[in-house]
Amino acid sequence: MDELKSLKEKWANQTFDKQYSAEELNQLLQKKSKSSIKWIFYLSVAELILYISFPFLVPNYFESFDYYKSLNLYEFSISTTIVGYILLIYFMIRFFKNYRRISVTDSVKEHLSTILNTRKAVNQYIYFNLGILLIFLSVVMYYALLYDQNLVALQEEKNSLVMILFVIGLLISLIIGVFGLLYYFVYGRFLNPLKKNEKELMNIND
Amino acid sequence: MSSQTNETEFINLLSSNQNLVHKICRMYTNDKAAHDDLFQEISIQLWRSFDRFEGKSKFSTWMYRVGLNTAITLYRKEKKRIDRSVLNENMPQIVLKEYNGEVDQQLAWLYRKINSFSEVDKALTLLYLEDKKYDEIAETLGISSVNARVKMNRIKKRLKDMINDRQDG
Repeated sequence: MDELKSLKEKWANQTFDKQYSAEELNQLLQKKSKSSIKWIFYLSVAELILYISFPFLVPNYFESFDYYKSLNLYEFSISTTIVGYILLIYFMIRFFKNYRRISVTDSVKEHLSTILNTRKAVNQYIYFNLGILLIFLSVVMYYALLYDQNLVALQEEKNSLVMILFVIGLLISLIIGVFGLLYYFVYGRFLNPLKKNEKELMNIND
Repeated sequence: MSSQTNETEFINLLSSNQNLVHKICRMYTNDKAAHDDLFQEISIQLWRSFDRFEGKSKFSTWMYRVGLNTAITLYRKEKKRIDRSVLNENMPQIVLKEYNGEVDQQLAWLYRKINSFSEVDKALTLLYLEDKKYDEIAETLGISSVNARVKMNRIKKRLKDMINDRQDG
């Protein structure tokens, strides 16, 4: 007898020990969904709330603008702050749209490509954020070297610009690294299951 | 239709089709806890989209779509990252403990093999084993019927090779 045929027959007639009663199914439906996309959207909302409340949480937040002013960077600091907020809102809208558009009733192929779009949006968001942070820190450090009286005095005293540049470079990489890791762990958690799907999508098309 | 009768209708449909959901869970998970988790998530997703199921496609087609989509993209805690396919080959008794009461050795073997397939190949295998028509497979996956036929032939060959290997080995 054809082995495959018998396997198919067994497949069709298989039974499962666990059979949920209507009552149990009803209880299952009351529980919370574990969908990843929802969490990516929730995280971005939490981040927006944190960003907005940030100036009020950090005691000397507004005074830091006085420091930027002393470095001739007042407009720059204000505009990067604004750009940061615009970016956050833009991506939040994108996340929300993805969240709304993703539908389990789509075909598997459509579903996978929407998921991949979401992953792309999150990655872009993280790179943009890290990019802005990098530009901001580099510019501030550069101007601080030129205009911060303490740093200028230090340069003259030690006569070691290279050393100071090295320390600054290290500091910037450290800050970027910490933020990068933070994003990786917070968003990466929900992106991981979406990661492998790119290959899968190629599979479905060939 | 009131929401109460709607829910009752849904639960009746789900209840009588639950073996299909169990099959998907069994294919996409390695142990009982993950199976139950996925079963719950698929049930929730089915219920959420139930009002969009307007009887345009067959109930089973709609169920395959929602079930497979959920299984493929569900967030799973990956704390036990060991290659199960290797482990299971060597220690079948552990598998039997995790999936209690699975009497048929051939089916148990099949599931172990399928566990190591890619997520999309699992979906294809399910549709093949369920003896679905090419049109329905195409509709579920979002590919052309011609492509569906090609893929079914490929899966069939893969399963046949697996059976031959088993008999030889």
